[in-house]
Amino acid sequence: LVEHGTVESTVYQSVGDWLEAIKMGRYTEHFMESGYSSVDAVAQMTLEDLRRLGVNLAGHQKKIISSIQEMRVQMMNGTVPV
Amino acid sequence: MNTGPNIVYEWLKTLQLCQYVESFVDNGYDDLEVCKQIGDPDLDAIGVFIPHHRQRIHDAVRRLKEEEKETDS
Repeated sequence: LVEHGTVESTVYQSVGDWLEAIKMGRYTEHFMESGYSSVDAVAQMTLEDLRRLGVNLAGHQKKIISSIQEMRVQMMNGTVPV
Repeated sequence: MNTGPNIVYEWLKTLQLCQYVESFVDNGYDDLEVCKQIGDPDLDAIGVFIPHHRQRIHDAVRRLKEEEKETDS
């Protein structure tokens, strides 16, 4: 019953899961407190938003922003009905 | 190749600090552009706590910035 064929491109269930997956779990509370509690909301974020919620390290900003960009691409390729 | 984790590895190797490469990359410091912005909070996050290692990286970051200025002018 397990289908290995359809690779669910990494769609994260929660913001926490996503941050853990990219080793940025330390920011989960920052995201929650600032109202970015869904993956959809996160996908809209900009660098400015990240700074505002307290992601100050250049490397962490880079890592999170590039993951958000990948997320957007996957969302566009995945769930949009033709 | 001027970008990517490889160049960070090479850079750390010249500093004899390549044991930190994984932690650099995990924390998003995966090219020299972003490494130029390293200061104390970044080293805390990466987990470089040995004072003379920190000093070596600070010096190297300063050199990166100087190189940048030279190529600009």
